[in-house]
Amino acid sequence: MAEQPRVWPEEYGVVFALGMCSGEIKGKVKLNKALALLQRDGFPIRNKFKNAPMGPHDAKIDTTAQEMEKDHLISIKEEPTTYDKNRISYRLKREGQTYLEDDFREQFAFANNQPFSLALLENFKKTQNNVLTLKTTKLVEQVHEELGLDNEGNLRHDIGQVRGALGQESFIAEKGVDPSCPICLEVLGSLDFAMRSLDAMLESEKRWFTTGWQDSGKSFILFSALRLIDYSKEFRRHQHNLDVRLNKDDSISLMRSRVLLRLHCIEYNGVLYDLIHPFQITDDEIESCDELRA
Amino acid sequence: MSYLDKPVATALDANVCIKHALYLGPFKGQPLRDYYCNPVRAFVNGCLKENIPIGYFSSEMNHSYLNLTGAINDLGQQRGVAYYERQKYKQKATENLDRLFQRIARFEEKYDSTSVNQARLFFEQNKKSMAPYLAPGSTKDPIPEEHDLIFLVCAHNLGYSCVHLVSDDAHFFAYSTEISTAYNVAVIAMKDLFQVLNGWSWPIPN
Repeated sequence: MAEQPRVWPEEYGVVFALGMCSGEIKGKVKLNKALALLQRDGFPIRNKFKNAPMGPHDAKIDTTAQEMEKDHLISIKEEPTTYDKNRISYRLKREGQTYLEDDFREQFAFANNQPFSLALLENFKKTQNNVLTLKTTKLVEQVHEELGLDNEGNLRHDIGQVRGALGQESFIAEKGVDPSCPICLEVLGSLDFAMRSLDAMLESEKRWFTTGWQDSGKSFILFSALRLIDYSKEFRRHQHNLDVRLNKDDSISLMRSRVLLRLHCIEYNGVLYDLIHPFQITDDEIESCDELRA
Repeated sequence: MSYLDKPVATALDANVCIKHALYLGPFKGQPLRDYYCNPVRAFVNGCLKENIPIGYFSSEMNHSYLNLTGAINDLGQQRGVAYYERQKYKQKATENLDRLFQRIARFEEKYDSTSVNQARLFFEQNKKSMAPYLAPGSTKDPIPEEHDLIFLVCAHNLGYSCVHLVSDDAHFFAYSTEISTAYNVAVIAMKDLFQVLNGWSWPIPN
């Protein structure tokens, strides 16, 4: 049976992350952070991270990297450090570089037709800059602060608090809603799904809040929900009834894109970590409603 | 030519395009659709099947995208659909609109300020109360808005012996006799569409 082709960048996350970082990432921790940040911000990285002390971390990344090495796409080297442990360095090989260059456009292909591509690129640049410029300890510190990982015992409490804030923001946004305004619908719809996602996490307490490291998906969703509250506040005084298709105002386009990206991140991480499933409408379902065919 | 005759050509206004796009669902076991969605789709399908020229003007296309959110919210509110699902239905309805505009022709908009002013004058000269054509308690200016006047002028300027338009706008069906005489435009009131389609034996799905 022929080998199934790999999916880019889902299964090539390691190559993708190396491409983002000029072809080299020094240290397992940094590679894990790079992939976790990409996943948190909506890239189709399929690892399942855990909120480990130096996490988010997924042990499978090691295995994947070794597979990529076997495919001659990357090289893995152990380098001595001034610390006790040696450091693992990952480097993109020429074949990997060629692959990246050939498929550079494909890296963002999944996002090209999405309404959140502007924000996706914005986050990609931030992550790229952080992974490239910050030392590992600083990067871990920053990720932990953003995701509230140093106080993981408080995760349930944090989810409850953000759920309350979402409810309050949704109430305020709904008071100012214009039923004909597409931006109002996008903001309210995104807040609505964020609330449901946090409710689902709280309701599944027995399943998810046992001992051991928590799945990072919950922290990623919480992060996106918090961003959504901020964006909704910024949108409180937006111009209603704007024709979003013909809009030329870059700031409005970017703001919309940020809202829609956060909704996408919640949906993506919700599915990946089996926390909540988004609402989908298929053409088959629609057509099953009657006999009408075009 | 009467609106009961089969069309020679058809121009769709924004409202009709929206009703065509509100082909959604299922929601809570029932199709989520506008009441007139199926007859409008049957009308469009019938025109395409019988090679009757059918199209839209770009200004009406823009209006249909612009007014889609309001239509989704109205439908969603009636059926108790939450904002998140409404957002998804809006995306689906937008795709439906995209598909519709790919399937039908884009008519050139031919009008100038003189012909639009003449159309306004036409309505002023034939001015009548809108009350009999509206829901009890609602009011409407008897003179149509600018984009409706442009639509009428453009439909007239298409050059066909008669252009059919389906509309739930009282401005059009209240003046249908006068419009037919002056502009060669046969107006089918939306509420009459079921009956008209049955008369033509164009099947309407349930």
